Amino acid sequence: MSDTQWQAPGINSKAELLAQATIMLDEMVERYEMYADQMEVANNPEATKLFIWLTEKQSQRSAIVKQLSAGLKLPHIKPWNYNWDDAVNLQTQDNHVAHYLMQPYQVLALAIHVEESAITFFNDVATETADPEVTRIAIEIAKDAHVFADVLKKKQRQYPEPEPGWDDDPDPPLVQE
Amino acid sequence: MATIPQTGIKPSISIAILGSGGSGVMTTGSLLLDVAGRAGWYGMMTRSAGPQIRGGEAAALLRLSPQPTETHKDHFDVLLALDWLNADRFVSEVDLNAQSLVIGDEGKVMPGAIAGLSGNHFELPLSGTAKSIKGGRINMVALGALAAMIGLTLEDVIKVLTQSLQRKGPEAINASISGIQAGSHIVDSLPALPTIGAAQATGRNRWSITGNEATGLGAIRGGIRFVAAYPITPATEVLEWMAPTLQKVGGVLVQAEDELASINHLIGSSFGGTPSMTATSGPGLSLMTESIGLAVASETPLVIVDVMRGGPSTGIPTKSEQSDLNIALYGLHGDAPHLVVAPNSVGDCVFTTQWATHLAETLQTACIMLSDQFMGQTRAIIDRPADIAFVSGGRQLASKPDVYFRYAVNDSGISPMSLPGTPDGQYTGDGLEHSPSGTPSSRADDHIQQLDKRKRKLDQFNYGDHWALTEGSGEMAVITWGSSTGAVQEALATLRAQGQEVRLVSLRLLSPIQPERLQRALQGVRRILVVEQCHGAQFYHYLRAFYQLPGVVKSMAIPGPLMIKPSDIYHELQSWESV
Amino acid sequence: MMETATSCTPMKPKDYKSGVKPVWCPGCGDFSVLMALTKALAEMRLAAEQVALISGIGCSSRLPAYLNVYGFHSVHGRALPVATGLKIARPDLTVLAAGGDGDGFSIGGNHFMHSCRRNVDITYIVMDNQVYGMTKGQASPTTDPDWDHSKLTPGGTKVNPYYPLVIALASGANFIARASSSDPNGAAKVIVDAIRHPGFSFVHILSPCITFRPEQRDWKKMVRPAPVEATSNPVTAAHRLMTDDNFFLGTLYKGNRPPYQPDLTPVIDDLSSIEKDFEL
Ligand SMILES: Cc1ncc(C[n+]2csc(CCOP(=O)(O)OP(=O)(O)O)c2C)c(N)n1
Ligand code: SF4
Repeated sequence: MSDTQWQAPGINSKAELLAQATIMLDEMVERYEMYADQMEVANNPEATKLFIWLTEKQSQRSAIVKQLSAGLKLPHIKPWNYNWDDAVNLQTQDNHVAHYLMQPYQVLALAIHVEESAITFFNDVATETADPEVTRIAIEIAKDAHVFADVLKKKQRQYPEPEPGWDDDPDPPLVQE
Repeated sequence: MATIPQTGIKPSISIAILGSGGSGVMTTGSLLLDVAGRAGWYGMMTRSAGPQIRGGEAAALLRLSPQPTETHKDHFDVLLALDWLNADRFVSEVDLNAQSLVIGDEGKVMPGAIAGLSGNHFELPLSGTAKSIKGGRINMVALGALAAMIGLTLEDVIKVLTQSLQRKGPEAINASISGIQAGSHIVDSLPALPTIGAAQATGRNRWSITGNEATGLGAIRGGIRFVAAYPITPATEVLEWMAPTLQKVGGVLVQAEDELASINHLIGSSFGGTPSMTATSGPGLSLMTESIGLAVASETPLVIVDVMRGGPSTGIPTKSEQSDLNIALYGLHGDAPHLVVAPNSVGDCVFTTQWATHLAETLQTACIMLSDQFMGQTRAIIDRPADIAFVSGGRQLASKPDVYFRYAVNDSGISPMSLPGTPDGQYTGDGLEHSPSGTPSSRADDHIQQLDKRKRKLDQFNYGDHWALTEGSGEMAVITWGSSTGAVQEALATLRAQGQEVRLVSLRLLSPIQPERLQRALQGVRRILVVEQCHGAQFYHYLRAFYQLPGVVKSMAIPGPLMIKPSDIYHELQSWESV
Repeated sequence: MMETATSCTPMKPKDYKSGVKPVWCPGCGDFSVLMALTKALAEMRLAAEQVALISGIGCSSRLPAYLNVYGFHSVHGRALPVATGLKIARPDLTVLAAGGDGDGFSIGGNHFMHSCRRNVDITYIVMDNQVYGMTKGQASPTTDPDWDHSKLTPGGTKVNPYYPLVIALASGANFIARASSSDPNGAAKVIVDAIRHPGFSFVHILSPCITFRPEQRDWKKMVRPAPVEATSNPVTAAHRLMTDDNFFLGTLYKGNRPPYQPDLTPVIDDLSSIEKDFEL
């Protein structure tokens, strides 16, 4: 749980909404990148490839939001004031879920979870706000997330669900330093 | 006991002043040294004391001479005791011969152990005279007596006294002056002391300084502006002198919680760009070794002064020994080339500490300087140590790096350092083996490259003539280091006066080794005596391990707490020569 | 809640990353601490070259190399003395120290106490996972007495754990806070406050070791914001910290002791007056 309590997103201007969206998407890019690095270091090429792919996709989607923001002065939001629940905040939900032996199916599950949380978030924004412009854009972003979630789900079906014991490692962790 | 022949050696007079707590032995000794200095003599004073914190028996041991002197001779010409309580514990340190004057307070019984050493016993009314003066003190009477015996003028004594007692007010000064005057009148009945020639050096700029103060000064001259340390005998006076001095020059001394902290404080401050030093003794050095290795691996310049005392363990904290050589040379784990240097006299502490700083900064590594209790705590009257300026060198800084590699491999092995605050120079210093950029690496090629680089920068550096003190010629040589040098020099002076040429090589640079230089210094030598104050002959074994020594080599390794005497060395060489 | 800045943030958290890829186990709490730290630095808009991060040895102590600030990866237990020396010599820098619970409370325990006491203006971040990660999962000073997963302590340590926040307060730390790697944004706030607060600031971050203490994933469910504001009263703070269950987050104590920082302005510019003292 964040020390900033979850509250209904009271977003009331286009700039504010786009600021939120930009941060969320940027953070996801950064985090997918981080996961890609982690998997690369842990010699898990399949997961690495998928996270790189997610990084690229996510960057493209950030670009769209950035286009929408062109010419607007977006407010600065401090990290501890981010207006979202930790369900969306991947790092809190899933940072510990990352595993060096994780399989593509799990990578995609992680990403699907992100998108579904985003859909909930932006739909909530759309209903709560008084600004019709904000509603319009929020729905648009939610839709985009929906489309992407479907892509992810489709992709996930190409991979088998991991068997129990997928994380067994006959070797002990390495002692260092 | 055989003594060194007087011919040729330094004419000097040696005085031992004994007394127990509260009698003011040390003050008497210091004042006497100062007065002699003013009068144009050179001289030195060491101290010896019982184990008590207060009230213990103490001895001030002085030697005065028209020539610079930094070692005690074989025997004391005068032993004056303010009282005899526990005085016999100094028997091994205060050698007397048949001519020595042994002077006690009237009516007090001299311990048999001392009485047996010399037949020249005298009594002076020391306490009686002191009692007859209002506020009179026995040590002032003794000061007056001793000054008169060695021919110092009352005027000089009073001048020095007035200056040093300034804080105590006119009443105390007057009482002391009366005591001194009275003391000067009670010595008429004593036999004359041997003449040592007139004091001559009045016109020269001379200093009264201890080795520990000299070390502090050398550090300040060298640019040290950060000291962190934990108090330890006999290094504490380096710190006591430096703390207020650093404040004046814009530096700071931090008293750390322990030596683990102090050595790491230095790593931090030096990483930040400030030349940094600590002073400690054997036990502290032992605690520091892990992080000295860190300084070597991370190429962080620092200076560690070890004022050696008797070891192992807590050992003999108040006495000298040259037995930390091994830990200084080999105490770091892994292959950790670093600098080890040693001053060879009180005055040389100034130069060698300054040099140590210069080397550490230039070569970006740890430099251990081995001083010792004897040198550190001896107060000597010396000619002002020359100002030295190293024309090149110092810490090489990275300027405006494009892509900065902290541990870039190059010919000199010295990679420019980027100081925090420099844009685009960010890096992470590391004690883990690393690649040139500083990223941890366990790859064989990185390890070999960095090992080579850290060794190369030390091996290739030109240490010039400073590597050793060399004197004399001939087929016989003495190799020594540190504070044993003084005794060796005195022994050699006697031999030379007798027509026997002998060479001296006193190593100032102990690591990295300088085999070619030593080989040159020993060209034509057929017999070598290796002199050190150490039971385990660490220096001898070190020489044997790393140097080709010509001819026959003998080891003279004598542990502390007693200092090696010039006569011991003289006889060793003389008997060898006559074989 | 929301600050309207006149311009976009000139620094991004990413600008503070070095590009060196961490060797930590995927899922390790320390990744979030790295994230929190970069966010904090970005929020403060500190120039990367003005910041130095000093660490000891351990998984968590690998942190400096992953940041684009000046770093020093020292030896086990000595992060604080290195940081102290640096800050005293270079008060112009923002100096941070970081490491694990073994590094900070066991081998470096004495330095922890004395650094609190000395109150130099540095921020010390301890990533507490109640285990020695780097050396394969031995008990640390904060491990519960009945944790019996280490071969070195069969049946558990049977020794009570150490309470770092209480020790910090008793030793004189000027700022005491707890954060959790499950909330990097909250941790970022605590770090910003810690850096801004003068004197020695101690930030205790619960940072699970998913390899040797996988059950610590549940910490996420146990942490909660402290129900009260930070106090500047050490007596109140002592009471709170003594009754703390190790899962309250936020700034718990903010003292007002002046930091230790000697004046480094020279008062003389040549050594002749010093040397004069030696002249006869
Ligand atoms: C002097 C010394 N002793 C022991 C070690 C081995 N060692 C390395 S890290 C470590 C413990 C690390 O635990 P912690 O500080 O809690 O960090 P973590 O790995 O859990 O992040 C130990 C014992 C060492 N490097 N140096
Ligand atoms: S062993 Fe534990 S502390 Fe170390 S990197 Fe892995 S998860 Fe983190």
